Amino acid sequence: MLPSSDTIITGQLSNGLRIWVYENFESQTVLVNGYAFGGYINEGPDEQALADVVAIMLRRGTEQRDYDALNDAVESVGAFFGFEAGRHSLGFKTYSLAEDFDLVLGLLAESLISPAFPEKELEKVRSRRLTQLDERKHSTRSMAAIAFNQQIYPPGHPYRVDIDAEIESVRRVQREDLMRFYRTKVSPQGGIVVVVGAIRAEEAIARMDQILGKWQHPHARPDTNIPPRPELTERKEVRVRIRGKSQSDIVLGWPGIHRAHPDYDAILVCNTLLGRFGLGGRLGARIREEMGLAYYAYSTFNATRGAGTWHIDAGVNPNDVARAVAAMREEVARIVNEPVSAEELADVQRYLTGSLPLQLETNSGLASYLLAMAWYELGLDYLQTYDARIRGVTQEDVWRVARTYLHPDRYALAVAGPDPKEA
Amino acid sequence: MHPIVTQTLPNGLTVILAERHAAPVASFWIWYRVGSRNESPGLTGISHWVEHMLFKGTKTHPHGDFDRMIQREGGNFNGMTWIDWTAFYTTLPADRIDLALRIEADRMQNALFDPEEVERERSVIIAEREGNENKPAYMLREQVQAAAYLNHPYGHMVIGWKEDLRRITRDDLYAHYRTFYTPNNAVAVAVGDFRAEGMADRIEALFADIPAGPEPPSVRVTEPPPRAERHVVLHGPGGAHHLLIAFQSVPAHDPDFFALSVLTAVLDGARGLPIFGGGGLGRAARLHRALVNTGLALSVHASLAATLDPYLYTLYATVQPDQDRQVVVQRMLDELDRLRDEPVGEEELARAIKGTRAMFAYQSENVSNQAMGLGFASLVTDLHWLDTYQERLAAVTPDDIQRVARRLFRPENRVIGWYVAA
Repeated sequence: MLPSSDTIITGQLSNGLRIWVYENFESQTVLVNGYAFGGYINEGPDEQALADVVAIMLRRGTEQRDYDALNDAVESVGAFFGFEAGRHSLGFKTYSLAEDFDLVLGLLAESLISPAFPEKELEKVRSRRLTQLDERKHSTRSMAAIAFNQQIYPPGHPYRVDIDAEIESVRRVQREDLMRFYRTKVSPQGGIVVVVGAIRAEEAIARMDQILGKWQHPHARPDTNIPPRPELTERKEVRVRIRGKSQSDIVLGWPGIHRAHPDYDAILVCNTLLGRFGLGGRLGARIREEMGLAYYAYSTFNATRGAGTWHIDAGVNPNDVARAVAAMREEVARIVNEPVSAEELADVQRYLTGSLPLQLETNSGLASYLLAMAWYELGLDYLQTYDARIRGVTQEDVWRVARTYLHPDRYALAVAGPDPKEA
Repeated sequence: MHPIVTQTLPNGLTVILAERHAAPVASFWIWYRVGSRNESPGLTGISHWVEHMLFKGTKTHPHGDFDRMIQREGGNFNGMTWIDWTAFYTTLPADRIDLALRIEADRMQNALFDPEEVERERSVIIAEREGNENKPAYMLREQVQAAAYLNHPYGHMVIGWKEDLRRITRDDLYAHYRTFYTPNNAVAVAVGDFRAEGMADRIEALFADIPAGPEPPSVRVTEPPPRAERHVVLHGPGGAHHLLIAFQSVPAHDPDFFALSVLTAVLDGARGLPIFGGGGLGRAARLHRALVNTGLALSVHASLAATLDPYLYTLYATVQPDQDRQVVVQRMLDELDRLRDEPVGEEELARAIKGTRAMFAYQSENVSNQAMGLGFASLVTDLHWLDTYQERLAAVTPDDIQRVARRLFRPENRVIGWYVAA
């Protein structure tokens, strides 16, 4: 049975965090997954990665326990807790056997309520992060993605990634910056936490309120504005040369939509058909199966509170980049210029609706759906209406979103890899 | 918990069934006793390539549209080739699982290996390999593995050497398929929301008429005892150095395997079933404390895989470029000496056991993982090994851990490999 307004129990903690609970006694575990407001969009112009460093440092010690003691406590029961910064959120998560729910929830709350942000740990985090950033500069896949992101989001846009600015900011960041950001830009008020697993809903809400409800940031004022959707008015191409590699990575794409956009379902269907279904949809069929150019060739769209991107990825031999890009553009032209067949559409609709039970089999699968439903305000009955919504997408809808968002000549292209002469 | 049913069809196909009614889904797997372990020089990577070809069409489905057929019914699928085995799985809404049985029965006997498809797949696999070559950790692993084995086919990576991938022919592939992908060399596993009796009947109806093949050739190679410590150094671009220390390990059926498993949890945290190896979460475990918390390494992991023959037990670290590399190696080896010289405390043992129980609980939340565990165990040892896994971990004593540390962590049994970033 799909989770719905009949089976998802909702409430609110005393710190303003909304809570959704879904009981699953088929499992022996409990998973907690939540978003507080915060995230990258709150970083100042010279503070790239500050939200990330805050998230990492929240796990590095509290006023009661140092990093080692936190690790000892959580690993003594084989559990996990951690934090992750998003564009608009500070994400937090725990999982454990049901019997250890209180213990791990206590560690999560302690880290949120009384983080120590220890200097000693900050130096380790800084040094590790700087080396990771340097490693990323040698990764064709990461650099293609970053170069693509920079083609889409102009300087100053909160979703723009800038690795050099990040390096500078990480070099400079001080403990006071972390404390200020955390106290003034991260807030549970209006955020969401989802609890899924072998626990009664009533008990979960009571325990969460008792333990996590004490986390209050009354002076925090996170930015809840939605950044503007970027426009792509011309073709943009960039090549990043990375020496000593065998393969080049290609990203070709466009600005996308936000998660709650009315075109979401039509784009989901269109993207699945273009670059997911089977072994990478039409793109995989062409670039991998017919041309034998790539091991991976697929398309993705990501949508958060603001507009994400819709893009095609492939990894090919440096000498095959031009052929692969030409094939991508031809497939884009085809989906923009011709309606998809009724048969292809039906296949994709059957896949998207039929595979839902597989995605909802585990606590983590359930929690990720519930979290998105709550955070993006999609409603408690989103899963109940999913089947009808996907089946309601028409050939005309797919064609319309392809024409609206994709373009075979006006796109952003990033290629990262070696000089073909070198490969 | 519903019981697990096993049977063997007259053609030699082993069948393992487990009803699980938690969700309306089912997973069907076919496991073949063939992997890179069964490959000869010149034919490295052939098993993985055959796996790819089994998505490429049969007499009844010449265009190889299995991927689309499965997804049209809402299913997930994949194939995977490892050193000891090759597996194909499909997970579907339970009322549609019969499709997976029909596909596997078809490609067990009717795969075409069309020459044009073989050529296209050659370049796809070379692209897959070139994607791996972009990663320093892969390049280091490949060299260390080659240095670790004088004779055993575990010395090459599953994907194979590029030189072999350029030369393997359609006939080589087809001969490999006919030799190893037979019912008598396979195990079928189904787990999910079905009745075992009905499932057994359908498997029999679809698979029983597939003729058994000749007994596949066994792997005759035994790796000679290692006599020399080996050092491998690669240079390449990167922002961090990578260190891999590899020891010849014990196979899954060895009584010391469970002590080694607990030892691994002490070094690097608990983990679930050690199918491919890979690191644990252990930030409270010894390696993380000794190397990461002290700033010597960015990350560190120990990896144990349950295998048919002695595979590699590895310790892996990424290291900042300004670090003294010799100090890092020594610190890692010191931790191994400590395991040999001092008994592990009760608290660390208890954490390893509890942690493993939790990892098994997380892993078993979906039918695909449950089926994978059953198939994997039946290939590398037997189902009893899986059934008693946690009990046998709990029975490991501090003496056992010291004994296995003495057995493995000897200089002549190791390769120390560096990828030095420049």
